[in-house]
Amino acid sequence: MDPISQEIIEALLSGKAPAGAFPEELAKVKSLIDRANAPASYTETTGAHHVVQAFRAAQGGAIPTGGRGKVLSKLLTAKAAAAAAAIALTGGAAAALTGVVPVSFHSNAHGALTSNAAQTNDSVTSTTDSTTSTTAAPDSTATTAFAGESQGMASGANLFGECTAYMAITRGSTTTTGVGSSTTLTGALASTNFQNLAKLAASQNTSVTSFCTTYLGAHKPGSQSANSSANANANADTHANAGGSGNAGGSGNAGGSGNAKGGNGGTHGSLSAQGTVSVSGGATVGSKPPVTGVPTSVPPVSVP
Amino acid sequence: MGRIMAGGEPFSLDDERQVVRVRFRAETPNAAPGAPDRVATHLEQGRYESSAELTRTVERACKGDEDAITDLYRLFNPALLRFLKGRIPSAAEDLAAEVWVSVAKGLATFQGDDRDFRAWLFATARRRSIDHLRRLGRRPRLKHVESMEELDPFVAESAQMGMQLEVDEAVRALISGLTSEQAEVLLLRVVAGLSAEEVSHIVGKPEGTVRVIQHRAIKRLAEKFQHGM
Repeated sequence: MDPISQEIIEALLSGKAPAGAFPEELAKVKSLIDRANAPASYTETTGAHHVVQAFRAAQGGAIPTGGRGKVLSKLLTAKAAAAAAAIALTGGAAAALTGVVPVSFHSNAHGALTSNAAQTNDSVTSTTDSTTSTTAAPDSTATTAFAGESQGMASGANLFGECTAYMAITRGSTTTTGVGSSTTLTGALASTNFQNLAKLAASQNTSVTSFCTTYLGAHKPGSQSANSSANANANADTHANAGGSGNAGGSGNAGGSGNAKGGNGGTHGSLSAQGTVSVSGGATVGSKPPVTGVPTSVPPVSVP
Repeated sequence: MGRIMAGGEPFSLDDERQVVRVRFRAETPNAAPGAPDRVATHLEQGRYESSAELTRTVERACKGDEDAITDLYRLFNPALLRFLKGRIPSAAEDLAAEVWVSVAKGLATFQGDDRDFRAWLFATARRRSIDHLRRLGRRPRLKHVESMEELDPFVAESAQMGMQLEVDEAVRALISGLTSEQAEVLLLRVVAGLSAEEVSHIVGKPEGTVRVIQHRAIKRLAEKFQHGM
C-alpha cells in the first residue's frame, strides 16, 4: 500500500473529495465516512422542545447542578412518559391502594371520569417519577372533581371522604414508604380539597381535626348502608413495568414505537345508587402483562 | 465570524451570503471541483447556507430565542448522537440528553461563533462520556468497540463490499479495530465535523499529535479493507 499523504488524509476526513479521488481501500473508508454523515433521520432531530424547556429552567435556576433533575427526566421522555401514562391510567386504583389516598377519592375520581374523562389526564402533569406520582396523580384528579362539587362544602360523600382522607393522611402518613410519604402529606394537604375543608372548619371556629372527628363520628360507616370493609391491597407496584420498552431517549426517540401504550390501563368507576364505588384498573405497558398488585376492586364506600 | 478549518488552513468567510463551499486546497489531483464538503453538508442539513448565518443563530439562541435553540438542536443533535453512539452505544441517548441540559444551562453565557459552539458541544459530549465510563468504573480500553472480525458479519461484509450501511453500523464499522484514542479523534473529525486544530484543543493534545493519530487510524482502516478485513 502506498504511503498516504497528510493531504489525502485531510481530504478524506474533511469530506471534500469524491470517493473516486482515492485508491480503492481509501474509497471504501470514504464511503463509510459519507454514510456516517448521512442526512439526519427524523428520530435524531426530535425532542428540541426539551432543550428549550431546559433553557427556560436554566434561566429560572431550576435545573439541579447534577443535570439529572426534573428537566433531565423530561428529556428521558419515553421512560417518564410510559411511567406517567401507566400512573394516569391506573391512577385512582393504584394510589388509593397505597393506603394513603382515601377511598372517597374514588368517588371523586369517578365523578371526574364520568363528568369529564379528560380531566384524568391532568394528573400526569405533576408527576416527575413513578414513585411520587402514585400519590400525586389521583390527588389532582380528585381536586378537580371535588372543587366542582364543593363550592358550598355540602355534606355528603365528598365531605365524608375529605374528612376520612384528612384523618387518614394525618394519622397514617408514616405508614407509607419512601418518597411517597412526605410527598403525600404535603401534597395532599396543600390541595384545594383540604383547603376548602380547612375553610369550612374555620367557619365553624374549630380545627380541621376536631371538625372531621365530629363529622365522622356523626356519620359512622357502620350506621350507613354501605359496607366499608377495608380491603386495601397496598402492594400496588405501580412502577414495576412503567419504564416500558423500546427507545427511551429524550433526544429524539421519544415517539418510538411501543412506548407507553396505555393498553387497558384505566380507572373505570361505577357509582351505584347505594354509593358503592368499584374501581377496576390494570395497566398494560407495551405488550407486558398488567401490573401486578393492582386490584380489580376497592371497597365500597358509604354515602352518608 | 465563522472560520472553517480545512487542511489546517483557516478560510475566512468574507461574504456572509456566500454559500459555504470550502475550497479544497489539498494537492489531491482528482479532487472534483465543487464537491460537497462536510461542513457545508452539516450546514445545509440545518437549512443554513453559511457559517455566518449559523453564527447568528447561535447568538440568537444565547439570547433566549427558542426558535434558534430548536434549530441548533436539530442541526447538531444527529452528529452528537452518532458521536456518542460511537463512544458508548448503550448510553448514547441518555448522554446526549445530559449534554443538551448542560448546554442549555451554559448557553446564556456562551460567547463564540458556530465553530466555537460545535467545539463546545462535542467537548461537553466527550467529558460526559468519560464521566459515564468513570461512573461505571471502567477504564478506557485499548481497543475500541469490537474489531472488524467481531462486527456483525453482514455489516463487515457490507462495509467490505462498499454497500450501503445503516448510519449507526457505518459509525461502528468506521472505528472498529481502532484504539480508543484513534476512534475518538476519528469521530471528532468525521462525525463532529471538527478540524484537527479544534480536536487538539478538545482532547488536550498538540495538533501534530492529532494528525499522527488520525493518520494511523486511516492507515489501519485502509489496511483492513485492503486485506479484506
